[in-house]
Amino acid sequence: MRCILTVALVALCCTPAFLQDFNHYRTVQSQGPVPKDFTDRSAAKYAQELTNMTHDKEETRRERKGRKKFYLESTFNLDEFLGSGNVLFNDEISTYTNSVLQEVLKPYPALQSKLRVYTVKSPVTNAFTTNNGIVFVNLGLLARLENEAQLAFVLGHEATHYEKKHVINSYVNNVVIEESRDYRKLSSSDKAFAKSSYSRELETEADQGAIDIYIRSAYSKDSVGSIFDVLRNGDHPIFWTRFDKRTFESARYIFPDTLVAKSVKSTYPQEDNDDELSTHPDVRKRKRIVARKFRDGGPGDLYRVSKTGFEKVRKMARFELCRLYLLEHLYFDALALAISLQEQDPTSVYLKETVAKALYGLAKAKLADDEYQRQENWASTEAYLAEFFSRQTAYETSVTAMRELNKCLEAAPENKEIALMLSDIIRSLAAEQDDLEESFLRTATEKEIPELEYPYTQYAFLDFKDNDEFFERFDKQIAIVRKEIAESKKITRKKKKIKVKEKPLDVNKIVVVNPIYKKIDTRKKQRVRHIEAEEVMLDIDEKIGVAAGRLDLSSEVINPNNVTSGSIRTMQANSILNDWIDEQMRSEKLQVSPIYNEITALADSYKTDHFVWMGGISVTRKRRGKVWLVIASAAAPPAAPLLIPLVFTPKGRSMYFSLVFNVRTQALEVVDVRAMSVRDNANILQSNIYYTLLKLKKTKVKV
Amino acid sequence: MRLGCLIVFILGALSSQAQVPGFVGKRFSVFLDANPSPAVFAQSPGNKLMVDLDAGTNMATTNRFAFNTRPQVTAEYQLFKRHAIGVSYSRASFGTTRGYYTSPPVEGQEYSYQYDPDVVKGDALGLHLKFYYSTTVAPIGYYQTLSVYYTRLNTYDTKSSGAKQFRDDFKYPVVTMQMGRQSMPLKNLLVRAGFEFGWAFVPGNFLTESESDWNADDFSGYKVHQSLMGYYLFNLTLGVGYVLF
Repeated sequence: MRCILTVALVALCCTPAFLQDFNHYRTVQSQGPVPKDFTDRSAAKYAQELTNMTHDKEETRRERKGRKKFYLESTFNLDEFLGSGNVLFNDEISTYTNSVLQEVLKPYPALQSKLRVYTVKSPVTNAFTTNNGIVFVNLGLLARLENEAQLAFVLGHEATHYEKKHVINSYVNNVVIEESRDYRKLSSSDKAFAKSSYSRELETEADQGAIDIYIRSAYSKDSVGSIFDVLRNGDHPIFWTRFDKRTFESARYIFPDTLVAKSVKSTYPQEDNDDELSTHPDVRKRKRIVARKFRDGGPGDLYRVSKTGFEKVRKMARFELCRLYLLEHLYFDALALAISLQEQDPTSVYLKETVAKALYGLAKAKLADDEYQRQENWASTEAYLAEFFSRQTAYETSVTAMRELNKCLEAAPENKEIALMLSDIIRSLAAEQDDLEESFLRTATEKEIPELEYPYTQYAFLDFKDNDEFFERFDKQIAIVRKEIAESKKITRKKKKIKVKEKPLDVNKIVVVNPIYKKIDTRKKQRVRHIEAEEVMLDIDEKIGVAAGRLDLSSEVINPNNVTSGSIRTMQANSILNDWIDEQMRSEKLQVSPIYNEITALADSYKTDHFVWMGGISVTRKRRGKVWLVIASAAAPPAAPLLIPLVFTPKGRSMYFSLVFNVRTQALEVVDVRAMSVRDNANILQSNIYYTLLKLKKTKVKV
Repeated sequence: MRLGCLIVFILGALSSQAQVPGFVGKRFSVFLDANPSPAVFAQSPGNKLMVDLDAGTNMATTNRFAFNTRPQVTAEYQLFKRHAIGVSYSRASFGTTRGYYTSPPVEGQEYSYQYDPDVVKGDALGLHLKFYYSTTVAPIGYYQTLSVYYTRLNTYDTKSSGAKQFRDDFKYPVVTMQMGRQSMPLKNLLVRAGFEFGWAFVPGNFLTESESDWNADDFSGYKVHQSLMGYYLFNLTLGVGYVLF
């Protein structure tokens, strides 16, 4: 009995660690040992590819050259992608997709052992494969699939691409086309046609291969054709409910009916089915071929691995997509998806926060007159949602955002991210509106405010659990803005330089994130010098350590080029930091990151707020005007010792950059960009790293 | 004096903490420079080029590609991120032409004197300020230097001779401006190349007066002035350095 109880207790304790809590959803992360695909050096992989390269007697010189070029480019570009932080491995989603791959390839054991699946954090509805057997499946695709059988068909399609070596063949074909004599004479559309027609052939062949694989699998043959509907609707938002404005209303806060569209476009416009210049055949054609093949249906299951597994993975993909949409500032998409998901999980804190964050982003974009944040192309039910928020002014959306953010804050007062967003949107609105503090009723008994442009908004903050707390924050933030405005007016009026109090940044530790280095030699046919650049990257950790050491700084480097199987923490951190910096670069004005809590938790674990993104580019090119140098030497012999060496040396130019962010304040503390008219070497790189860190150490910030 | 300066720099460098400019915090470096100066401006000690002399008699020995060198040792200290200060010691050696009488001149009679190639030797102590351009990471990159030298020279019959021909040394200040580029091909090893313009503050008689008004002694002295000015007027900078600490 005691034993059973112990087991039950252990199981209970362990459960949260393994099960995803959709109420308080946490972003999915890579787990376990880092696979060899990520740890092996690119140069070694390339050398291996060249060793394995078979010599085909029928192969032309151009084709062979194209193959070599492919191995070089694909190996390094793929590794760059793997290190970008966008690829997940050993996580719940990848594990499941791998199981489906194994299931569908059961009759093909040779293929089974060569292929593996990784998940890509991308909202695009796509999957793709590489020449060395990696199949990438985007979260955007997983979120839209209807059943496991569809996933199996997609994986079968990708497996065929691998088996038939489509990736390399397509590349070699393009190289051969580009290097052919007649290519330059072709018009741009003919060039595109020449390349795309071959690509379409390969896609058709992959579809055929997928059909063959699928027929031999135990999956149901009835509904597989619908995968093409999923692909066709891949650009449409994921929204399956009907928008109701009451979602955002309360007893007294009621939106006017003018905000609700009476009718919208019922369907999306039919896309032109001319696929002449497309890399893929028209979806309808593909669907017809598959439907013809499976006309009679056949035995099989929609789910072979696990129905609950599929549903969970799809749900996770959808939850992840909410996060990705926010990071990509696709606020309408985030809203649509989160509202739909709320149908199944109405109490999910994560979804409520997604809605609040999306509204915050939308409000900020509207306040900044961001023209891109309009959603006029949507049709069907989701168009009601788009129309509702498009008809609102920046003020109205901001008020709704404040309401939703405060609701989330009431549920979780310790949520720093939401608190910051709320304070920020209040300040942004106060900067635009002079009488903001007088625009809202503070108690239910208060007299209505007359002559408001949007009368319904005055009731926005009446129905909170604790109105006082909200208005305390509200007044405090407005006071900050008013003070700032008054001070800036004072400065303008006096036109005097006011001494700003400054203090050193006081940095003790830095974390350098995913340093990049590119070497380009325009004199060579292979201009991008991948191998030389990788050699530099391998030493960069040491160089950073040396420079930091000289400056009494503690340092860590998150370098995906230098990972071992045990570097899972590095890979996880790289992924979050990549998401964060990507989002920061999208923001024209400072706004609270939708993953602020994630990034600050990471900062806590690294015991620093200062993260550095640095890189360098070195370009070597042919020196021009050599004749003039010789003439000048002859005309002025005393200058010859300086001029003649230039005739024999190429021209070099290097550029170094580094951005130091304080991830807690989201401030860009140091920007260091240096272009040098010298050819790069290890010592210059070392010196540049040192100077960047020195600058960080000496930088002062306003008190 | 020289030793004193060196000690001050060494102590200064040692007492300073890290978090300083220089190559990874190393701010003290030494250089060895050749400073080749074209013999078209100042004849070389081998007297390959005889300036202002009768072209017919000396053309055979003229070499327009000859250079004088000025070996120089420099100690440099990186004061700030883009500013350095340094002291240098250089050995000067170039040619001149001495005028001498075959027989003592008689007052009131027309006289003429002969020419003899001589060598000017001496040394110079310098102080300089160096400014690195904003796109550099000192001590690597492009720079500009402003220097002041104190030169002390005398003429000798040959390169190896130790007998001074003038009782008093020629002592003149020189200012120069150098522009160049330093690179670091190996860790801590610096190589630099550039050019330098200078002005020696010598009496300007040789520029304003006619040579026919000079006696042999005037001629000999003014030729030293002329050669010294030419020696510093333009030279290339070729040197190697090492970042010590």
